[in-house]
Amino acid sequence: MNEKELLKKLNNLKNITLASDWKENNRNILISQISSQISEDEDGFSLKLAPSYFFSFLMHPATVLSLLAVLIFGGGTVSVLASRNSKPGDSLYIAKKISERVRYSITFGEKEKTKLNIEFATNRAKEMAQVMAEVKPEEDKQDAINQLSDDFKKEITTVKEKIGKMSNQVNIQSKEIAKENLDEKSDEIFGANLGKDDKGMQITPNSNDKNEVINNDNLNIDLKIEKEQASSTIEKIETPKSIIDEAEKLFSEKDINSTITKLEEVNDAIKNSDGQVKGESEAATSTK
Amino acid sequence: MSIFKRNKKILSGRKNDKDVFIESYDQHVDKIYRFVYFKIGQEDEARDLTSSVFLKTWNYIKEKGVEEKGLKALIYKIARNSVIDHYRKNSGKFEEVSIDDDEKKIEITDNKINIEEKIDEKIDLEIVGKKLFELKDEYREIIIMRFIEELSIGEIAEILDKPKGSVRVAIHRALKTLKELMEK
Repeated sequence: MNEKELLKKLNNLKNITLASDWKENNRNILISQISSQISEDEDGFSLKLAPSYFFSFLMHPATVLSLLAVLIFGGGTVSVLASRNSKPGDSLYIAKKISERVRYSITFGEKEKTKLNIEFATNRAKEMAQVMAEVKPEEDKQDAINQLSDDFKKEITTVKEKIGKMSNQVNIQSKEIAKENLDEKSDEIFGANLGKDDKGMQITPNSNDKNEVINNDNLNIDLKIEKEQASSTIEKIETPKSIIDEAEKLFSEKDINSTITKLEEVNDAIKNSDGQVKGESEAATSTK
Repeated sequence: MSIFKRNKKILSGRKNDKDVFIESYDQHVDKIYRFVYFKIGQEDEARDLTSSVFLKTWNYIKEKGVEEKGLKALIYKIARNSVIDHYRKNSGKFEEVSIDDDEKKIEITDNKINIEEKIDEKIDLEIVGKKLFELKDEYREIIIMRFIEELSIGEIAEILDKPKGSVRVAIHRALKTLKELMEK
């Protein structure tokens, strides 16, 4: 067999094709998968100022040296932009991690730190998606995936601890507010009775008892309402806890997009609970 | 990829890129299937891998972006890596690939060829196909890309991350080895 014949036979292997219906079905599945991803992306606000290939250009070792000079002399903005899309294995990833730790150390307040922990966990999830999408054999990506999983878990554990602390704090605060209101109301009842005695008004024991019963009933209702308010506030702190559990579960299932959505929900829930606690404390103060 | 080169259409997974991508699915799905099939020798697995290759490619485009003209090479690269992953996952339980098993006979779906030609061609193809599987993986891969899918030397070099010169040498050696196998 000469080369020409061999090449002809090889070329004839082109006649092996997929069945048309399989191609059509698979095409439809692909279109639906792509469309759902596009609609998810376009629903959300994108912070991408430049295409990601621009950032991959920035991550080339040749540009890293010049960028380091800018990092040192040009302030933080450029460094944050350059390292924002980096992932484990990229030269600028260390800059991203340092920038995160610096932000964490200069942030004060449990709530603000918790929000940062959630942001960092979201970053790890996004990096995981980047690593998983890389054109590399799975084994080569395994180290980065394990590292990101560990980092994600650390951030989530910290968030859980902080949410637990915040929940306890709200519990104690609410109990104190309820106790203060109870003391205040007891004083008012006691004062009213004193006033009446001073004016020499004679009240029969029966009618006194009745007033006392009415007053006690009102007090019980007030206390009940305050108790309900306190428990609803605690529930609002508990909600992020359950969402974060869901996020953790989704992450372990490698459902990165849903994990990120859940983490955003946790952030919103914390913000809302923050406003709620503040509002209720103010309301409690204004009734005094 | 240099960002200083102008007038290059970059796909980045946005809405407008969908049509270009689906068009490239239509153009390359059979080629990718053949590429995967001749690498692993199992139809069902080859179909599944082919399907996942296109979704992985889209995800890659979304993350990194790619020049439109580099899309074909990217799809092949992802297909190649998917096959490597497939080998790794199935290492130990992977059977010797043989194209002459009854269940694995090549199906020719081109209806334009008449029956007689079709039978002759099928016999030829089965012989060539069988010999192709006797080649070492590196040679088989390069034969598929160059002589079945007719990729250019430049495209093959890009997919394999090798210089064009090395690709030319490998093609020559692969073809020579296949020819010797066919003459046995």
